[in-house]
Amino acid sequence: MGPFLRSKNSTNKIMLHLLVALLPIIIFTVYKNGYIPYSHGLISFIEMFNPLLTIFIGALTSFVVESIYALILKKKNYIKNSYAFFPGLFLALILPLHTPIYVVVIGSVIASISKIIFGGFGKNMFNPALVGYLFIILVFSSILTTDNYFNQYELDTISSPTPLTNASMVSGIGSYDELVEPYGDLSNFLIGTIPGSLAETSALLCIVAYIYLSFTKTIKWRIPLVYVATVFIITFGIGRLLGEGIYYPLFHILSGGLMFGAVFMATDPITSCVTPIGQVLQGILLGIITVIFRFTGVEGVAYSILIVNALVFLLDKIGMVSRFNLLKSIIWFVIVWIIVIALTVILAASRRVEGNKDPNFDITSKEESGNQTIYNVSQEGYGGKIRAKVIIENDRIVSLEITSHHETANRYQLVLDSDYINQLINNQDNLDGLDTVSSATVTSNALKKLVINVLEDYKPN
Amino acid sequence: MKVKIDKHKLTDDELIVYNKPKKVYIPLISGNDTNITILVNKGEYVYKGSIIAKRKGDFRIPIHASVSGTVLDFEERVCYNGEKVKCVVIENDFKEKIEQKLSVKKTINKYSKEEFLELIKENGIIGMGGAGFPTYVKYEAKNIDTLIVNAVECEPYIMADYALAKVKCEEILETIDAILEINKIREAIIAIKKENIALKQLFDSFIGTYLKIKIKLVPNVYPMGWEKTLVKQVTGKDYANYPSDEGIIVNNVSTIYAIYEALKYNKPLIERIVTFSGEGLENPHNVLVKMGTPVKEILDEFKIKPDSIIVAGGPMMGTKVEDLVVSPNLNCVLALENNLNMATPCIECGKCVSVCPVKLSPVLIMKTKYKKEKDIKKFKSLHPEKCIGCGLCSYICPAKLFVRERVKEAKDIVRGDK
Repeated sequence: MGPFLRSKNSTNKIMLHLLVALLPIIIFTVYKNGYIPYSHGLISFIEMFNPLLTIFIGALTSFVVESIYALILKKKNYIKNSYAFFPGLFLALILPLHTPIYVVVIGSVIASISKIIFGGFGKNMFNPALVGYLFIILVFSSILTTDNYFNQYELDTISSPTPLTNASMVSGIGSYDELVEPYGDLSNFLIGTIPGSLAETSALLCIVAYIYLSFTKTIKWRIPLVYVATVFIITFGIGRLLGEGIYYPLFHILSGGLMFGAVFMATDPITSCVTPIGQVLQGILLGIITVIFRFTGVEGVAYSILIVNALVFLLDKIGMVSRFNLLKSIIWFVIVWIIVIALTVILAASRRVEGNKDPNFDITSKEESGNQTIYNVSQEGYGGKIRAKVIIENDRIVSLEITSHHETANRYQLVLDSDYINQLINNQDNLDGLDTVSSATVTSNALKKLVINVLEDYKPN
Repeated sequence: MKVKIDKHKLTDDELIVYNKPKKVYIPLISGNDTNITILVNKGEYVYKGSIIAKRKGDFRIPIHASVSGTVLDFEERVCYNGEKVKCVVIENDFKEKIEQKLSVKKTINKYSKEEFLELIKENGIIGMGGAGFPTYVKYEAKNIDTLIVNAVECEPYIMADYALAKVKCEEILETIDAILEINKIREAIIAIKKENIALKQLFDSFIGTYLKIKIKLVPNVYPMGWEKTLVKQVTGKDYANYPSDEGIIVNNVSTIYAIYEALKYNKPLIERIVTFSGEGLENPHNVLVKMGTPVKEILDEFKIKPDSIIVAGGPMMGTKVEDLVVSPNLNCVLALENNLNMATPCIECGKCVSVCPVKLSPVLIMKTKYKKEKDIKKFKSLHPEKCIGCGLCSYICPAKLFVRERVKEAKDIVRGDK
């Protein structure tokens, strides 16, 4: 049985290249989530190594689970060739800092089980790490959505929403000031000093990893390229239609887990397409689904990859047939491009802000008596609706009273401490010039908007 | 996509002659056809070049004795494809006696087309590159426009054509010119690998007067020597079944030289150059050997290392054998170290898909299971029958799986249904 000449490729080499590509990202996460908070005295020396611990626990858990599986089934060589630690390792990398260790363990167990259920290494249909991630989101959602991110730009506290969470709270599609400003500028998105889970923030390191992995032929290079390009094209179109600049598509491709997901998760060999045309279609589909998720307020990279995992079989069928006859793939490309264009137009239209109306603002009641008007209004904040009673006398706001809110306690306290409410009343003629409260950007911004919206309703331009 | 495979060159490409077989075992096989009539009896004396058998069926080409001596017996011996084939055993009397004095032709381009066809047919000329297709049949095709001379060795290690072209450069050019003239073919293109630029320079120095012969360098990739790849590379043309569909004939250098000897000396195809190479040999060489020579004798001569495996043919498409006898289409014998790695699970990296020269998706074929009759449909849509057996899928596989073998199984399933 030949051939008697074999290339120097090996699965071991592929996995080794992956680890090499991950190394800078792991070092960076220790720097960003460990060293920087430590150097600012926010955490102790030991806590500095929390990211490493999380990653190690994840990897170890997965390894143990598959070892037990191999022991029970008496599969002797299984563990040697199954790279059992990867699911937990990748899972830990996409979790936020301060995820409780027991959650990491449970997630890693689920991740490895999802691999075993399909028959073990090489047979799983869904990306194991993402199955574990999905499980954690569904069961421990409260833990993941609270303030477990660290923002270098708000050093006095350790928590801040991710750029995408922040983006889901703006009106329309937001503006540079709303999307990028709170995190410095886009170079921070590129370098990765923005809030986000352990490994996903540094787009730059993901790009370096992509180049390395493509050059060494470790990953299917088409998938990340087409994926990111599709997200870029759709968001570029939306940005153009709504008059936003080039920063807008850049914001989208640089934030969230897009780069990390595209390079490391979407290219997982076992759960991705083997045919070139299949890979291109896979990338486009991933882009489309991710944008849809993002516009419904959810970071959708993980979900998109899992959904497309289920379609890989079909995409490969198209890819296989197209290899013999390229014409047969054209119809599919026409379909996906129509979807891309339609999606761009529809999403742009849905986010067009009519007049100055803010969809996150609601007037519950409005009572006029003499020269006094009493507003009961609500404005979307970080944790939900902030309700407030605003009294206007002689065309000026004289009182702003917050009746209920769901903001994080420490954030809300910051707003109170800085006397922001009085500042709003005092500066009601020049609100554009009023800065938001550092470390409580979203809450203070919501209050500012609330005031602007009330004034807008009271005396429309 | 074609793949660049590290070259495995002989350090010494000098040609040596092995003339000493005590017995030869002339295999009764022509191409893949073993349906052959024996024309000699046990104990009969045969001359070197005598016809001892003839193929039945459509292509009635003869098989000749490669030595003079007595027919001892008929024995089964392993041939280039790893299968046992009935052979005529002749005891060599080392007299090299020939039946009748051969007349040497001064010019070889004065034959009529009919005479040409008759000569190459009666001298048993068949394709010496691999498939062993009768050469005269190719020239019976109408409207041939281009002759491609394949000087691209099909697989790594093989240097038989290269070694021959180096020493018989002038004769090869003369033959090509004669073939063009006799068959009214417009032009000939000699395809040479880029890495063998020295060979091109050698041809260049003799090509002056042959205006219809061109030389084209082709990339150092595998499977460049495969007819379809070569035709596409050299002419840009795709053909459906045979190159003659597009007015093209492809002959390799060894075949051209065999034609030369047939035209010049009326000499049948009784010897050829075989590359003996591989890490298992201390002294690799290109060797001029007689048909039917047992390969083991020559390997021992070159000091084969004890644990080596013997491969008939190139490292990619060859077959593992214990011993074998030389046949017209055997271009290489390798002695290799036995270092096949353990296979690991497929990770669906898709590398086999990207290297397949006939655009199959081998990993998808491997994933398809045959359980019921109707599963054949699934296989058919994957077109495993297009496989040319080049072995690139197995070569590239990081899991060291026997991908080609699995595709072959699928090919058999599909073929069995037809």
